[in-house]
Amino acid sequence: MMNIFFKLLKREIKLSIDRISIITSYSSFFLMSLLIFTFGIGPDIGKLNELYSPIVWLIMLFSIILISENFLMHDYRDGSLRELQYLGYSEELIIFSKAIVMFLILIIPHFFLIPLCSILLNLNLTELISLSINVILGSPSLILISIISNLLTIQVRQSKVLQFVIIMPFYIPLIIFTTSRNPNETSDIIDLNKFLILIGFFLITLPIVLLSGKMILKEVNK
Amino acid sequence: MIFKLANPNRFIRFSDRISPYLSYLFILLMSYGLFLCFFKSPPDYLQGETVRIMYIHVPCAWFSLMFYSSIAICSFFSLIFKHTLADIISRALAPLGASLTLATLITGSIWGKPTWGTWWVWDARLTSELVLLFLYIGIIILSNSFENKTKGDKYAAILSLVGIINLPIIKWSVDWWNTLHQPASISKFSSPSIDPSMLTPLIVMTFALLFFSLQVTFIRIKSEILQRKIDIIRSTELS
Amino acid sequence: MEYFLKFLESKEHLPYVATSYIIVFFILVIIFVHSILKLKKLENDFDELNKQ
Repeated sequence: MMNIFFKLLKREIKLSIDRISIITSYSSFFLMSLLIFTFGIGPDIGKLNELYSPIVWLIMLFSIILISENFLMHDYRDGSLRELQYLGYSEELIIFSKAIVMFLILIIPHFFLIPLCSILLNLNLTELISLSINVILGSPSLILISIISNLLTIQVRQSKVLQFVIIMPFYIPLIIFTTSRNPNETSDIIDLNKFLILIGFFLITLPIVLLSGKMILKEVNK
Repeated sequence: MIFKLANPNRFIRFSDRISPYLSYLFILLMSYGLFLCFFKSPPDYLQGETVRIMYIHVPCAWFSLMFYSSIAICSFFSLIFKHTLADIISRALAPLGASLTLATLITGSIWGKPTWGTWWVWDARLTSELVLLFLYIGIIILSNSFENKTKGDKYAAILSLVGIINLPIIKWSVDWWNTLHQPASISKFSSPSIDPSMLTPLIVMTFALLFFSLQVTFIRIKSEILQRKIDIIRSTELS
Repeated sequence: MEYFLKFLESKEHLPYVATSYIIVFFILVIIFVHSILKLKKLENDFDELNKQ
């Protein structure tokens, strides 16, 4: 089982290396959106400091929706998804390997994007660390949900709006928890409870996505 | 009974037989309910006359949740037992559920203005009810996005089962979080905290809305069955 | 009757209550009419196809 999983993972990593431009599209979209947000809100550093979490999460959300298609559409169009199923790979492992590779690909640009955010949004070290951990713990759930919405709309033409409509009800609770801020919280303390909630979200999302993804893949490949 | 009515023709005969009674019951109960709401129900000591909005808002809210649960149950039957009518019932219920959710949000907003001083507030129950509306819209759009109706129904069924997690959040949000929305006054597990002069119109209006919803659901199910028959005839003609 | 007359006299709350009921009935009428019209159209199409 682990051998099969590592084979799938290797395949996904190889394919992603071939499509490394995903990282540049993600990073450029992230940067441009960040700049637009900062210009829109204005030069008030206090305001920017208050809103850094929602800004980063919103930009991440839109970026993931934009680029998540690349991880599935190519495989569907060239028949690889069907072939993998016929070769006996379990659908859950296919989805899980795609989710892992998507997470790794998206985490790489964050190594320089998050420190850049800290400069533009005037974050101190504690806030920077808190945001980084937030992103690392919260993005797997975002990625899993986006995979499901992509699978549901993979056979629909012009599916971006439909993807957004499907994703919204599941992203809203996640966004509420990731961007919530205790009014008594100071910027020198890292809120561990929030991280536990994000881990909980991931643990709930993972089996639901794997199970529903299996049903959808079976239907897609019929 | 559920599997007996899986035969579409048998279901159409059954719905044709009980439709007139549903209409009579709806008209009767709605008239009586409105009479109770406006003539027999006293104003609330805090909210005044705006409490009368409760008699239309609360049944809509109850049914918005009930129809989503029904869609989820039908989706389960459709995916696991391959019940022939389950997909059709889901398709028929979704627009009705979405309309009632929209009605809940609008009447709640109108009720909120004189009571809370604001048209909208982002508290747990209102936000989760809005999320429910998005789920309904997602299910409707997804099921209609495919030329092959069966495929659309299957994907919509999966989406509705995944979205069921929202229902307990809506139901218990007022208990879990410190929200502006009032907690439940009526519970299966204890006697209601609402006065009988207000409880009676509420129950009557709920049943009126129930019979209306059943009537509309049966009409929509019949439409879906006819649509599928027409599609089969047209496809056999083409081949 | 007393409650109803008091309700009609309440200038503050009457618009809110009336608007809610009108909007809900409007939504219910729309969905009912739409369902009936769709059913009638499909019944006509089905009868025509059966005749052919």
